[in-house]
Amino acid sequence: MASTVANDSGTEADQLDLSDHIFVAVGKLSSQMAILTDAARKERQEASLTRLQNITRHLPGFIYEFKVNADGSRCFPYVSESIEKHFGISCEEVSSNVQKVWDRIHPDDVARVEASTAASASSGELWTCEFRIVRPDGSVRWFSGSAKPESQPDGSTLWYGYVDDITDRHKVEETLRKKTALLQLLTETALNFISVPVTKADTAIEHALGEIAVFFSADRAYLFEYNFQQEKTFNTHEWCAPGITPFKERLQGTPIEWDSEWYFKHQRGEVVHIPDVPAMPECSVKEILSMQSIQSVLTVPLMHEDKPIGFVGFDLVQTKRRFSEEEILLLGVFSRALVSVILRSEADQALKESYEQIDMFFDVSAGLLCVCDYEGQFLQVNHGWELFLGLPKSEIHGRSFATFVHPKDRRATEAMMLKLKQDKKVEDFVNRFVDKEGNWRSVSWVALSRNGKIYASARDVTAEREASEALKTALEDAEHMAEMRSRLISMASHEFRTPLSSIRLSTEMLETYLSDNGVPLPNSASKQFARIFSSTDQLTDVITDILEIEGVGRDKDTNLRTRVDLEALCEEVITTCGELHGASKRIHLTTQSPLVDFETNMLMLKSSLSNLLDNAIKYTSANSMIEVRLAQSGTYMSVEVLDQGDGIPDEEAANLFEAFFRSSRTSHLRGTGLGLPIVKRNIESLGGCVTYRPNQPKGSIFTITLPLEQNCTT
Amino acid sequence: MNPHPAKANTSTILIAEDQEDILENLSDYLSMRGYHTLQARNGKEAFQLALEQGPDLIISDLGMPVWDGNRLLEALQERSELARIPFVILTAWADRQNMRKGLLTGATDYITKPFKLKEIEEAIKSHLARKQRLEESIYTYVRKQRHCIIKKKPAISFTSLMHGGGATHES
Repeated sequence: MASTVANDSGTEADQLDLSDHIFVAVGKLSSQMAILTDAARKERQEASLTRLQNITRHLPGFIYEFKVNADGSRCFPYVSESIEKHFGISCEEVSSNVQKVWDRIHPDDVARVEASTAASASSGELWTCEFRIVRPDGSVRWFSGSAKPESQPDGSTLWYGYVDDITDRHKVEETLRKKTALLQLLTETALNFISVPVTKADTAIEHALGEIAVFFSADRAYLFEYNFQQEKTFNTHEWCAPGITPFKERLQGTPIEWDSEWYFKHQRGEVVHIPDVPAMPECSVKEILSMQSIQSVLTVPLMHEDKPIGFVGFDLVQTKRRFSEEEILLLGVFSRALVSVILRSEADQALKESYEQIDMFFDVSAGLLCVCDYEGQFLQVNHGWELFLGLPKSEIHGRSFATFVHPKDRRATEAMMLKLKQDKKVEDFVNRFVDKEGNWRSVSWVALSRNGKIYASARDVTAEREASEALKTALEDAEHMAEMRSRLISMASHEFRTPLSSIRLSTEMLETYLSDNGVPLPNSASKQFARIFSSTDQLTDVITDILEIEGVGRDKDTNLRTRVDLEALCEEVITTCGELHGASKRIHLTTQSPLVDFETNMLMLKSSLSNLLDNAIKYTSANSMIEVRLAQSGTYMSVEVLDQGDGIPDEEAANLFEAFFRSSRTSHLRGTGLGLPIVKRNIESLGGCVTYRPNQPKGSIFTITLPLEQNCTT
Repeated sequence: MNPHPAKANTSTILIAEDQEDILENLSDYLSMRGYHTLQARNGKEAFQLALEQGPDLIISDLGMPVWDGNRLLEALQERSELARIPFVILTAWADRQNMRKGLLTGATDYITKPFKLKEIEEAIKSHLARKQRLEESIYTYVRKQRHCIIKKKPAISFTSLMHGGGATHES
C-alpha cells in the first residue's frame, strides 16, 4: 500500500480514507524523505510532501508523528496542517512548543491521555483515546486519536497517528444514551406508580418529579390540580433542586385561568413550552415567570377522559432548555402514569372516606350497634355500647353477649339467635342486660344476619319502660283519685242532705203545728218560713247539680237509647214547665218540617230541654213570649228555645257553658251556675251540641242539635 | 180547729229511720194526717214489726245500723205476704246508681232528702190508692171467678178484668 502511494501520481490519495493506511503511508514516506539527499531526490521529496499535504488537507482529521525520547522529552516531528483547524494551534507552534498541545486538552482528560500514552509505550500496543480539546474560543470538541508505537534504536518511541473530530458522533451517542435513560426512567416510574401503596403515592410522585427534573436539568418540577368547582388550581406536589426556592405553599388556589392561553392549551391536551422566557415578547406570563427567575418552562396537561385534571411542569432557572418533540412525547407517557396514580389515589381516598364515614356513623349513633358471630360473640361494638355497659370496647370485644343477659331472658335470647341463623330478621325483641354497676337494663333489638355474622342495632328502652310503667301507675292513681273524688262528693252530698232534711222537716212541722192549730200566721212569720224553705231548696239544688255535673254515680243507663218523638217530648216538657211556673200561655211550639222519630236517651234530652225552658221562663218578664222551634235538617234534629229577655252580654257569652259561671244579669236570681254546663255535658254525650246566639231585636236563642244516627260517647 | 181532722184511716205506715228527729217528726205528721204509724230505728227492727203488724206501707231510710234499707227490702221480698207492701225509700243518697238499685230490688218509690212533707203525703196516698185498687180488683176477680164456677161459665182473665172487660159480666 505504501509503495503504491509513493510511486503513483497521487491520484489514488483521495480514495484513502482509513487512518491505518494513512499513518502507515506517512511513516514510510517520512523515512524515505530522510534518506533522499540529492536534488532529484529533493525535488521528488518536495513533490511527495506536497502530495502528502494535498492528501491530508482533505482528511477530516489530521495526521502526525509523536516522539518520546529516552530522556522523557517529547515532540511532534510531523503534524499535518489540519491541526490548526481542529486544535486552533499552527504546525509551527506545535513544533516550537509541544506543551501547547497539552494545554489544549480538557483538564479533566489530561490524565487519561497521559496514562494511555504511557501504557501504549510500554506495551507497544496501538494507542487509542477519546478526549476533549478546549479551543481558543472556549468551545469544546471531542476527538478520537489512535497511533501505532514503534520503538527506535536510540531508545525513543515514535507514534504514527491520526486524530479525528468525533463531536457529532458523541452528540448522537449522548442523545441516544439520554433517550434510553429517559425511557428506562419512565418505565421504572410507571411500574412504581402501578405497584406503590396509596399511602406512599405522594412520596412516589415527588420522587419521580425529582428524578425526571434531574434528568432534564430542571430546577423545579411540580404537579398542579385543576379544581373546576372552585375554579382554582392547587400545587399538590413539588420538587426543587438544591438552592431553589419552593413555591408550593404560595401557589394554592390560583385562579384556574390565570393565563387563558396556558389554560386553553391544557384544555386541548396540548403542552405549554417556553424554551426561552427572556426572549418572549412582554406579557403577563413573562412577567410572572421572570419574577420566579424562570428561564425555560414546560407543562404537560394530565388528561383524563379528554379533560385536564391538572398538569405536570418543569422549570429551569439556572439554564435554558428546549425540550425536543420526542422528549415532550415521552413526558406525555409520564403524565398518563401520573393520572393513573392520582386517580387510584383519589379512588382509594374516597373508599377510605366512605369507610371512615361508616365508622363515624357507627360510633356517633346514639343506638347500640354491634356485629356478632353466631355464637353471640361481640366482634365489633360502637361507642354506645361502652356507655351502655360502662366498659371499654376492649373488654366487650370477644365476649359473648349471653354473659350480659338476664338469666330469665337467656332462653328467649337463644331462640332469637336461632331465628337469625335461619336468616330471619328480628325486630322488637327485648331482653335485659347487666351493666358495670350491676343494673338490669332493657334493650330492644333489630337484627339480621349475613355471611355468618349478625348485624344488630339495639336501643336502651329502660327509661321508656320505666316511663311507661310510671304512666300506667299514674293513670291508675288518677282513676283511683277520680273514684275517691266521686265517693267524697257523694258522701259530702249525703252529709249535707241529712241535716238539710232535718231543717226542712222541722220547719215544715213547725208550720204545720201552727197552721193545724188554726192560728193564722202573721205575714212576717210566713215570710220567714218561705225564706228557710227557699234557702234549703237552693242548697239542695246546688248539691243535686254538683252530683250531676260530676257524674257521680252516673249509671250505665245513660247509654240507654229509645225511640223518641221529639214533638211529643217537647209538648210534655212545655206542659210540665209551664204549669210549674204558671207560664203555659206564653210558650209556643212550632215545628218547621215533618220530623222523624229518632233514637236518643230520652231522660237526658228531657232534662236538658226542661233546663233551657226553665231558664227562658225564669229570666224573662212574665208577659214576654217564648218560642220552641223544632226542625230536621239532613241528618240532624234541632230544638231552638227563643226568648225575648235581656239576652247575654257579648263578653259573657263565651263563658256561658262553664261550670259555676253566672251572668251578671241573672246573678241576683236563684241558680247554681251548673244548669247550662249540665245541658252541654248531656247533649255532648248524646253526640250533639248546644249553642247560644242572641235573638233579634233582643233575647237569647239556645239551640240543641242532635244527630239522627248517634254514637254513644258516655 | 184542725183543718185536717184525723179521718178514720186504718192504714198503718211503718217508718224505718235511724235519725231520731226525722223519725219522730214524720211519725207525728202522719199521725196528724190520721195514719197509724209504726217506728223502727233499723232495718231488722222494721222487718220484725212488718212481720208482726203487716203494715200497709213502709217508708225506709237506706243507711241504718244492723240492717240497712236494702237488706230490709230484700228480706221483705223473700216473704210473699210482705213482698207486696209498697216500699218507699227515703234517703240522702241522691245518685242515680243508688236510686236504680233500690227500684230494681223492688222499691215502689225513691224520695231523696231533703223532702217536702206534701211530697211524702202524696206518694203515700197514691201508693195506698193503687194498692187498694189492686186489692179490690183481686177481690172482684175472685168473686167473679167463684160466680163463674158456680154458674159454670167460662173463666175470665185477671188482665181483662183490670181493663174493665169483666165489668159487663157482673151481677
